[in-house]
Amino acid sequence: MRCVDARELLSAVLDDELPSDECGAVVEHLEQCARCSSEAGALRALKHSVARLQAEETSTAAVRARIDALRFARNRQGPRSLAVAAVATVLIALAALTLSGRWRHDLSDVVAADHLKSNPAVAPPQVVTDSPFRIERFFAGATGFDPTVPRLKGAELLGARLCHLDGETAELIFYKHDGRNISLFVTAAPPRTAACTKHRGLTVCREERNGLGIYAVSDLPETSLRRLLGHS
Amino acid sequence: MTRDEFSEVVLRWLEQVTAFARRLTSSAADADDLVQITYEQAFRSWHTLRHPRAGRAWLFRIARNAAVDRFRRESARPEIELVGYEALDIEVAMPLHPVELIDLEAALSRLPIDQTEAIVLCDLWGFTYEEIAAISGCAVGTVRSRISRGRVRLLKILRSGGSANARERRS
Repeated sequence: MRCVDARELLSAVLDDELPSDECGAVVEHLEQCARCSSEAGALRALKHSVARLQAEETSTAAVRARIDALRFARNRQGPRSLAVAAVATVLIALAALTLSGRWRHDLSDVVAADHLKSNPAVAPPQVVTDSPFRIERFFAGATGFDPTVPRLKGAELLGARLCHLDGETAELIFYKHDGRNISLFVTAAPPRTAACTKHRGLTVCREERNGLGIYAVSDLPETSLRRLLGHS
Repeated sequence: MTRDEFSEVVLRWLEQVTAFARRLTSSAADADDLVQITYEQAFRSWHTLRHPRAGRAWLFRIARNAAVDRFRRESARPEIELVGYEALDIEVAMPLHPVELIDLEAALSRLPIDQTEAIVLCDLWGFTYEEIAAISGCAVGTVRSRISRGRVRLLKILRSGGSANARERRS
């Protein structure tokens, strides 16, 4: 493959949007061409930087009130319905938060975004060590669950930091394997199902272990990430 | 999908739709209006959303179309200052590294609008090329080309320090 052809496809490779045969040809070229490989690194860093821009903003109370009114509009039976709806919304939200303690939706996309933003090269770990025991001590008492540091056989443990997922404090542990970063999130909210899926061009494997949610994120192939997690 | 399930889906993405609206408009007030319009349209046509997984892209498409409609209407009113992506107010974000990210925002603002849009939809919100094509109303191949060319151009701007020039021009 010529450099000019490879460069046309670099972005699509980075985004995991290329068929595997074409992707393989580009990867093969990158292994042989230092200049294209360097360009690929620059594009990857750029992608990570864009991912760190602000993806969410809190809407104003007025907008939320209007949306709540829309939400309950079908139940309108009288002039007080909007006020009743607004009160009901607050009560339902409070009840849901009180009973469940968290929103139980799939966090895969959130952790993929956090992986891009929390790359250890960008946001250094709060504790740098290859000792899982030191990391467990670091997490002790900082989250609402017992410290857990999954061992990924064959991966290098780099360190860890605390993070916030869905409004709760969670563990974020950094590993490295085959030169690729792995972010592993441990959260009190287990996923509904165990699976590996693609988000933002990254592999995200999620599962429940001992009642906790485990989310592993990396640009490693799914088979490699599964193997590291002990799936096969 | 029931209407209650629909409500849950669309409310889940409110913060992201709000951030997208801020990128599509020139002020917080305009963004609020756009979010309201988006959700009004969404609740009016909630039955057309076939699968919850498509909810986020569906909302973004509604927001984008509403912004385009509004932009067209205001184009016919010369007394109103028109603001496209080129003149986005970049003070909305509170990033970890302000200078670096403002540079990036400034550099993004120098790209053609369609390239900026494709890049942020892909990298910031993690949409697939197919979803971006649906949001932007174009072919998947066009999205691929916009992202590829946009990133190369963005790198050139950042390497040349062009974003700083953009900031100076604005001030």
